[in-house]
Amino acid sequence: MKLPVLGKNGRQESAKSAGCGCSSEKRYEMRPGLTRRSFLRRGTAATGAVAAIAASLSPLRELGDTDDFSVQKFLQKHYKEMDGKDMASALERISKEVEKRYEVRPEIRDIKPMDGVEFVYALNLTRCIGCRKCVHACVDENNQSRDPEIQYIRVLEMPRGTIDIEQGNHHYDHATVPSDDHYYMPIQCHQCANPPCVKVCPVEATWQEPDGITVIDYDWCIGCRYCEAACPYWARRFNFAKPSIPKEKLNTDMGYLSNRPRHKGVMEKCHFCLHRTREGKMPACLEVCPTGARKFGNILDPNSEVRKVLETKRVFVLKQEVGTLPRFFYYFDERDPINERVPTRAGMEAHS
Amino acid sequence: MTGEHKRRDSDSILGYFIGFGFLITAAVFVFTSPSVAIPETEVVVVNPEQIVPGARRVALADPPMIHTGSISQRCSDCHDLFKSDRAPDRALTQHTHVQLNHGTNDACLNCHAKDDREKLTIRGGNHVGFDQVKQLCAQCHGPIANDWERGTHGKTVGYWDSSKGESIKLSCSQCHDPHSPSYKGMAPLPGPNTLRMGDQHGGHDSIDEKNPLQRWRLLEEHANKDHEQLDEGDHP
Repeated sequence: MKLPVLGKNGRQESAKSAGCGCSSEKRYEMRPGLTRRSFLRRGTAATGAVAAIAASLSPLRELGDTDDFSVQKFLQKHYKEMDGKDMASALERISKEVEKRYEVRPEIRDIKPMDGVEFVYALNLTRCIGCRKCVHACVDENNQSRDPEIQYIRVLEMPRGTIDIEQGNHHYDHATVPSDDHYYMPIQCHQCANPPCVKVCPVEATWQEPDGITVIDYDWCIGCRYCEAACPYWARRFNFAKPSIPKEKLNTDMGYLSNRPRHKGVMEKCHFCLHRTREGKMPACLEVCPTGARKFGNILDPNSEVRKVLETKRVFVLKQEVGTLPRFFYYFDERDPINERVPTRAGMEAHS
Repeated sequence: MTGEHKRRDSDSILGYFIGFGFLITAAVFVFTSPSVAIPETEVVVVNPEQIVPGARRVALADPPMIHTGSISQRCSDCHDLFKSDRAPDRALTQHTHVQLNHGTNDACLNCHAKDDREKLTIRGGNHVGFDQVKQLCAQCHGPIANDWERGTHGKTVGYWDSSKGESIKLSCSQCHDPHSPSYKGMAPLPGPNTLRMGDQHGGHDSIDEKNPLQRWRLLEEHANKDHEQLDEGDHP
């Protein structure tokens, strides 16, 4: 506390003596003694400075006994620089944190992409009825925060006759869906081959994996939200507050890059359920779709369903003009079940 | 001289103010709640029964079994005794839960085999089991059946990689009720929490532009107006 005061005094004096030589004698007399005024002034300034520093550090009190900070996490390397030992200790740390907070031991692992696999999603807009089952299955599978609410999939209700998503509405609340004059377009991360979110990340906390999934290292993300702004599909979500998941709802089947619990202040998004899909399973949103509108598979396999969709259906991608090359395709059937009239016997007889 | 004194006085007064300002700010930081209060939103609870993975309905196996309580019966247990002809005009006394709503296909024996009720009948008088229902449906719904074969219609669950586990392709009747095949509307699950931000059914005259629940309606109305104008332009 003494040092800044002395330093200040010294600087002040040299400045003064350079500026005006006439009163140097007088000040020389004052120098050894501390006047009441200068004491009060310096004392107040010093106290204020200390208080300000204390105040600026006061958010640290919020850390408390939470798992938001640990030395081990602070010293953890970037995902791509971790070797097997580093990853094992990171996974051990994460499972301890989860166990402490949710009182259940998770089965967390780091799953690498499979060779010769590139994932593609296809969604049949003719069949989607907008029931939002995919949204909530995703929340359950991927341990998204319930409060505040985070959902990866946004189902837009679109007026028929346009694919301008600015006209879409995700607040629809009908008694039953589908509504006759609308169609439904679920949007989630498109896992672009040319992802703008990866380009803007200043710390390389998000990157594209060889199987096409753009992943986030939640321990490396600094929460700048550049990627959220860069994404043309509104696919990224930010943890503005500490995520909360009911203990009994926690999915303990976890991947390091996918659904392990996130912290406050990091980004998250759809990762095609990579802890499931990299082990050969279908993603959760597809499993619960009551209409079979969702198709998922390996585009490099000529017999996969997604390959057949791209070969035989009329397919489009969202916002093609922005050049993101999505791996998420929308398609239509030639016939539209909602507008189709089912022939009745009475109608046919009247016709003939 | 006096000017300099005055400046020094005003400097020190400024110093006091800054110091006190720091102190007050520090006190505010210390004694008030440190974090920004986040407005409470209603947390939705989704019934797990509403999001069940896999097949939507249970399809009949071959041979079909009827389970009533602890007793399991086969179709032939009754139908060997009671032969019935083509679709009767009278109301059914059995199978009353069946609501036939399948367009012009309105007779039982169009699909069910007349002399073997545990089979389905296809063109040419051949019979197929209930697990081969796709062969029957494909007779009328050809393009859809082709799509199903390719995998672009219908639902495949389980594993996309069949080397890792079973890839289960659901049959027609695991999604569609054969007696009433078109999908009925269903209640949507809760939307994003912005849905619960306020009134979305506000009157048409009072659309609040700042309320996202109402703003989309403005957009939609706007689009409709544009369409109308275009239509008028097309037909002068």
